[in-house]
Amino acid sequence: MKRRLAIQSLLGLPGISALPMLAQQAPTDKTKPPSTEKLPPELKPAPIDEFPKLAVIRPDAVVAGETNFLSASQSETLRHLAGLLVPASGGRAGATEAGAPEFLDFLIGRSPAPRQKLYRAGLDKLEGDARHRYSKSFSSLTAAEADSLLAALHQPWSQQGPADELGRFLEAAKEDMLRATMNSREFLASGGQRRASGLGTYWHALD
Amino acid sequence: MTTDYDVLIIGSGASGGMAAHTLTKLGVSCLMLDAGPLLDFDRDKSLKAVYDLPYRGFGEPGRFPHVTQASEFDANLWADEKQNPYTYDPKDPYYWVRIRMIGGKTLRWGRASWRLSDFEFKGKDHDGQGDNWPVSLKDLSPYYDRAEPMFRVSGRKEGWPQLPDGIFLADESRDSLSVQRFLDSARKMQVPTTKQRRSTGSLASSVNLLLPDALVTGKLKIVPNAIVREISVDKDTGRANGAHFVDRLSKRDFFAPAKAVVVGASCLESTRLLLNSKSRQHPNGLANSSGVLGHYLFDQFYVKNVVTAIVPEARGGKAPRNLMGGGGYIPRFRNLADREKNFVRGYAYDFGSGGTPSAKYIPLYGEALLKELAELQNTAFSLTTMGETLPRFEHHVRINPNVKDEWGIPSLHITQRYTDNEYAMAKDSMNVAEELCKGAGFEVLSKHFEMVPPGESIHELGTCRMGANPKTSVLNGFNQTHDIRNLFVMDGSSFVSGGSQNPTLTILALSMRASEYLAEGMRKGEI
Repeated sequence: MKRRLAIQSLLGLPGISALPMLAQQAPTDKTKPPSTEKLPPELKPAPIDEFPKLAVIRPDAVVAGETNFLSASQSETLRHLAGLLVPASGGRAGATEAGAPEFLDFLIGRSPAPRQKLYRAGLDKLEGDARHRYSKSFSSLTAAEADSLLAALHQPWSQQGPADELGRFLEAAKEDMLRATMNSREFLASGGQRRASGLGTYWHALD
Repeated sequence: MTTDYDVLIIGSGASGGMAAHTLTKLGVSCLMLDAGPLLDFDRDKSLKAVYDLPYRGFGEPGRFPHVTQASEFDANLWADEKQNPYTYDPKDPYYWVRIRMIGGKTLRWGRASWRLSDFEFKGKDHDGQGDNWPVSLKDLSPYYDRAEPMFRVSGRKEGWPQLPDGIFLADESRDSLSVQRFLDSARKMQVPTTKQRRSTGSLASSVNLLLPDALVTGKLKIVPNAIVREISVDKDTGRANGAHFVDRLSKRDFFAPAKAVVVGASCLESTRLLLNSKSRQHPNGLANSSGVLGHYLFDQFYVKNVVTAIVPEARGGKAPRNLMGGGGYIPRFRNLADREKNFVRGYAYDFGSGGTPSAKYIPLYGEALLKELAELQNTAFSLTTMGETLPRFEHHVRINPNVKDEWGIPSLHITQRYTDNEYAMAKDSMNVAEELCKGAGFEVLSKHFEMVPPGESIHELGTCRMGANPKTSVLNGFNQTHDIRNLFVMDGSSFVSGGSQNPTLTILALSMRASEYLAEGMRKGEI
């Protein structure tokens, strides 16, 4: 009974009372195995020697990842920065829609210490500069106000890279945020173009 | 169960694979050991979307601090750095990039297939620098002639002394308009250009081009996951008589006996093995009576994207269909006739048309950046420099007894740094590349001359070099150790110098030549 209900549930079929034809076709000779020849295809049992291939999905496709590396203040700053660095544009998902800040919280939290320090110090510096210059949190700044704190991103690229820590953080955050966005399911689903649609040949771990 | 094999081959990449191919066809029975597993091309790969990877294509943080080539898609192909550690002075980082599986680095190589010339083999005669090889282009040409068709090398003949022609599948492809403009600019500056010379086919590896033929002879057995810890020498005869190895998975020890030993474990692994094969007779490692084993480490320096330019007519998706795409190669053109610059030797370039420039070169963010990236889609023209580095005695590897790999085998400490000669060359290459692009009417977006760290080109060479003099070299001109007649080292560690050409084709030719010499020597009873 349970199995029958499960099949009904999976297939969206009506309840048992709506299946009189099937009931009439039940075998009368109990010494023979039940015939499945006349069952509709969706109700035929799988061949006994066939192994199932079930469709599954990665967790971040259905639920949000927990953030536990950055402080609450740093997370707020990163979220606001994400929207500025990679906004939604032309119908394509931006960093916020792609969950890029939450992904980077996870990624940087697993990264070597120098990268963790770069992010934490950079986010604290942005928040400190916002408080100092505008007497409010970075996450409350308008785009124009924030732009004055992101001046390093207007500097031409150089071999030596930015001289100060904030510049180095912003350069890294710009690159990471773009990549985390463009490699996301949300970006690709919203029509964002990416080389080869983001598909690649994956090599599994070998023994 | 023990069978006596004629030759034990350690390593299955370009050199080991070619040794097996050559020796077995000459009737020599071979046992091949490789430190890694066998790849199953049906079972071990599948198509995945980048967003279905655990780290969204960034790769597991910290997994490969020195393997910039590893992506999250192919991370499982590269040697694990924690299982296989090595050390260097923090002031002089060295990027040791390894693949440990049947086929070695021929599973992932760039396929560029250039011959060396007598500007390399006899470089000292030309400019007084370094040392000559004990072989010349004339000695090696017959083997290049056979290796190129085996690896289906495509290219175009040019008749240049610094980049000898070979047996190519003719590349008669038409150049895009942007490449044509670049070629015109190069012609005006008297800088030579040619098509790439590359091994073709969906796979161009030891595993499909060398090992299957060797197995068909019935003369080859391949043992995967066999990590060799020491080559054994008979105390009475002084001859190599086999190798001790450990199974990678079970860590069980084995001994493989053989009448001769060929080492082709890749440049630094081969030298590490010889240095670890110490005994009372060989206190400084095997075949090291000269004291130069481990020394004269070099590679080729790379300046990736030394110049990135924009083809203006391609902006905004307005490029006609034949404007973008394709590329080519510029061989060495410095210091060929005379000493003409503030450095010795020279460099080459790869150049390519197409693609979108990296966002890091664009000083914008937000909506403005996204618009500019869209505007610059498929507008890029870039060059990468590959330069010769000079072998120096002080650039070396030695055993670090305090750091051992997962199987208890002492690891390497590596010392190499780039010197004024390489810096001067890199800077010159930036200036020339900029001039070439401007001459073609391209907009230069970025330029720099920052070399990648030593090792990152994956062209590590030397440390077990050839030479005519046993007091200053480890091998003779047939890759045979001066000290032990039945011990050969056939990979890139045998190089005396490297030019700016990718080394794999020369490794194949050297291994084929040395293997024929070995087979003939065994037939005559001389080895």
